[in-house]
Amino acid sequence: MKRSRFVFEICVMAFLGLLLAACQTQTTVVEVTRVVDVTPTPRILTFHDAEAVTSMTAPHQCKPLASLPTEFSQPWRLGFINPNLAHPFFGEWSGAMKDAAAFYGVEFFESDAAGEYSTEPDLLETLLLNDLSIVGAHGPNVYEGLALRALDEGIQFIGIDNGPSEYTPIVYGIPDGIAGDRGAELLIEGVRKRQQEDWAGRELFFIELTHGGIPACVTRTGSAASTFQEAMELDDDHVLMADLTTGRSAEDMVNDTITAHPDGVFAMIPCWDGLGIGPYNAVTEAGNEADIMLVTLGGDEPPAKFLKTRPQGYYGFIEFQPYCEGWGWVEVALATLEGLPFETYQVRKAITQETIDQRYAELYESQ
Amino acid sequence: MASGVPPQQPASQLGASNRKLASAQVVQFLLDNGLFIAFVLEVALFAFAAPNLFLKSRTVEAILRLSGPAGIVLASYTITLISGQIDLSTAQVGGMASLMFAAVFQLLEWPLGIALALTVVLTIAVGLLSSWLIQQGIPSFVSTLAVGVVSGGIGFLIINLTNQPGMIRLVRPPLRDIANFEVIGVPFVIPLMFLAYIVGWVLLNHTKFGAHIYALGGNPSAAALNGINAVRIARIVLVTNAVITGLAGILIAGRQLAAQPGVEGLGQSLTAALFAGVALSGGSGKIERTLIGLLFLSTLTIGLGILNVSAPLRQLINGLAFVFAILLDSIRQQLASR
Amino acid sequence: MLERITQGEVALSGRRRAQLLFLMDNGIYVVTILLFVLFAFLAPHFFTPRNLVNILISASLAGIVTAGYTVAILAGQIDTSTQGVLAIATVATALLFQEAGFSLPLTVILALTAGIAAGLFNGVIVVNGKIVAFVATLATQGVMLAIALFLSGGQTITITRAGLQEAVFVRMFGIPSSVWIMFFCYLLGWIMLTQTKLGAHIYATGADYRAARLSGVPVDRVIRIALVISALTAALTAILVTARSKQSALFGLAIAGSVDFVTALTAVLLGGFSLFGGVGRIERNLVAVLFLTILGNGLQLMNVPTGIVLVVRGFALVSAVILSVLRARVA
Repeated sequence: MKRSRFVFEICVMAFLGLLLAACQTQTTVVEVTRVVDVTPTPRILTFHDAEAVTSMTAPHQCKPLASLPTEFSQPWRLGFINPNLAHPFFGEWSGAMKDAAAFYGVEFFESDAAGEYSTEPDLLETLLLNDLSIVGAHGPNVYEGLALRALDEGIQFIGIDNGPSEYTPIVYGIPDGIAGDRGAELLIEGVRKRQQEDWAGRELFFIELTHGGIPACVTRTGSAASTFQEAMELDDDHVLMADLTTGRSAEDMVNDTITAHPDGVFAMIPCWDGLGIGPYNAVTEAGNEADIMLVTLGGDEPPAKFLKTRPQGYYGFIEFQPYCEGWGWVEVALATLEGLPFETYQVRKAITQETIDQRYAELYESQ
Repeated sequence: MASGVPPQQPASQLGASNRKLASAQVVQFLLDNGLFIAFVLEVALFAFAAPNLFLKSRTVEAILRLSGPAGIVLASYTITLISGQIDLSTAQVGGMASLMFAAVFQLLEWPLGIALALTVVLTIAVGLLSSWLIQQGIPSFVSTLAVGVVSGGIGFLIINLTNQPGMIRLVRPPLRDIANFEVIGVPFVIPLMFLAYIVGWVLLNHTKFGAHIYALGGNPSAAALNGINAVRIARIVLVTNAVITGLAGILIAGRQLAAQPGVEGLGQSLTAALFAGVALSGGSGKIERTLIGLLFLSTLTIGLGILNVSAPLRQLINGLAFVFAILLDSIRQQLASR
Repeated sequence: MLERITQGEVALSGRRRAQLLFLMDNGIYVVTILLFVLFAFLAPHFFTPRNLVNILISASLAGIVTAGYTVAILAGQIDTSTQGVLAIATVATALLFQEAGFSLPLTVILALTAGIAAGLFNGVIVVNGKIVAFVATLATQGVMLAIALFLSGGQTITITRAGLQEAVFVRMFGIPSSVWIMFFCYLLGWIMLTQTKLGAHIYATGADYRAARLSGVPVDRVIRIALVISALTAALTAILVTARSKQSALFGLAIAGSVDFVTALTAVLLGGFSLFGGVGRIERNLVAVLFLTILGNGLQLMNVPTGIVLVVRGFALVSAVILSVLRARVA
């Protein structure tokens, strides 16, 4: 009796659902036509000197991405939603953006999502109150919504580390796929060297260390895995996965994975530095340091410190150079507003055990 | 509430006790409306700190909009809590629903109505599973925690099976137009949220069903003796909550144009309800208070965002506000039961 | 708190009931052994000394914190602030040892003190504030995470100074200290719960708070002690985790690390505990932790995709829940 009621309830709900489906209509495709008006600059202009930028941004020595005039056609107002100002990496962005805005003489407005990307669409609304000319954000899950909202306001959106999509044609920053590829290239170099030495003739595996809940991570380590797999001619069984979303610690997962192939050697790329360094130390503790090789992505002070201690299997890292990344965003935004060409931001700074001492001294010991 | 008849006093002490009574009333008033007073103070504070940004209709809209989907969920969540059920699966169910919807609507390119219907059926199934587990005698917060883990797993499975990079882009029209559809000049989620609260308020305070919910949450065994069908009420409440959570998940995904497992904005329902003084044990709590509580928290997020307060400090302020709110509520209850 | 809606008791004859109860009480041993045998056949290199040590290490880190958590559950207190205590203790360990250059004993003592302080803070809110532990610890966890974020600046702290891993995560007979510490914790917990007056008080408080208070049990003090024990074991785990990976542990992400709320709760339920307090035996909990670790370890060895691992984990929790309910209904 009770059960039949239950079934009845489900049937009614399913019916209502189908009714809804039947009533639905297919609307036309929305086209985004509003783009920023780009005014040509007929005046005679003087341009900022590239060397001035390089010396201005010491010790990072950023290469300017665009040659910008000393006087702009309008008093531009730039806005950026920083994902988390308290985080050192994003903090560097913020500092660089403010410095660059001061250097080029434009106004800069900032909002802090404090680590919660889901609040960015609402923070954008308050940031837009500043009558912005262009806006940007770091929002791996929400950027397309932000971009479309900016277009509604008639302004362009230039995100960092995301795109391209139909709403954000301009890709700026370190697209995660490319970052992963760079890491894989560095790792391939290291593994090939090792294969001339003690890894000669040993079965090679790749471990993808990721967080399945963070899209940026999936893209980053995924492209690293496929690049590595292709270059080293590994089959799918030799590409292994350790995913934090399973609720286990990276240390345990890596230890388990290498135990499953006791005669193998393992090349690893984690989504971020700490995610690789912890397991590396745990593997070392278990006495298997000789079997692994690590390349990490990010490269701020903690991994630099660790690399300085010359761990046997830590080949190096890809430095994302957050300061230059933040500085360059301002240049790309201004170039876009002025209708000037700009170069792609390059992440080619691969730091290895050979170059770490010099780099560390440049960045952290000069002050 | 246990107000009752004041105890008889000898004539000589009457003046003193009157004064005591008056001050007790003031304290009681402050405690009863503490959240509201705090909200007013908060708004005044932000208006003073950043008048040029905070006192704008757009900021108000941003606050209301941030509250929107979460608020619709919170309205049904409050009712769930009052009926004595704690739902810990909100964030995962919202994520799973949005992923299911995105897979069908964006990737398979099926019509909007079918995608919605399938998602609704899925969330009904989730609600039924939770209520079935509870019916077996499992405490709700454990059942829903388990259902949450399973839902999260299904969400990840959808992503794995469709080979997506951790999220599903959701840009197929006309979804965004619907998610951002405006009524009387504001996004429709805002009036919808207020409507949800009005419906919830009427349901709880002016219907037999509402009275049953309070009775069930307050004392299940007494309610059962009075012929209230506990199992049925729990099922209705949990299924409704799951469906509303799923739809809110789609609304959020529709706005940010991406669906992902675990919707951050929805995981806060429990915190927001507890913040507003809804008892974890059920049977008490007022739905209008949770609305104020939610607005308080959203205003805090946007206000601190405008002032660019750093993340650790923001988290500390949030944490302390929560601790303070539950302490205040505890004092209020102790005074009330005295 | 947390009244249940039940469908009535199951009527069973005495002998059948005794058999069922025996099975349910000891089912976790049987299931764990079955799982172990299953993976020995299915998963490559599962039954090797190296992997058994892996399992023990993984179980130890989850086990120590679960031991303390169990004591709190027995006293009727659901402590949801574990991640918060862990965050504070790991940041404290890394900062004091690496940045401040403190000696190892002092670092360990201060990190444990931080854990005790967090437990006392929980105790004050729960006991003096008269707030249900589940709610109170949910609130205090926010404060603790904020403090950890303040101290660390949101960054992982790498430990390059020698001496922490070598001294804290030291191996004896090939088995790291954390495993010995886990067994010691369970032994201590077992003695405390079964042989001492405090243990009896903890059971009494969890079983019926009012009755315990009326019969002269110092309930408030018992709750405080239980919460401090829970926080202390979390801090101990944090020190071991930090020493092992030579960096401050990850926190703040919703799903991170081996000691999250879901795992601890699953272990507690699988161990045959009642969430209402007062029922359960700590040694069964150890087996439940081993069960979960073996499950995770085996699936990892087989390189099973994440989605499937999560669904399996969810069903482990669901079956743990169903088991605990069946048990309560038969008993």
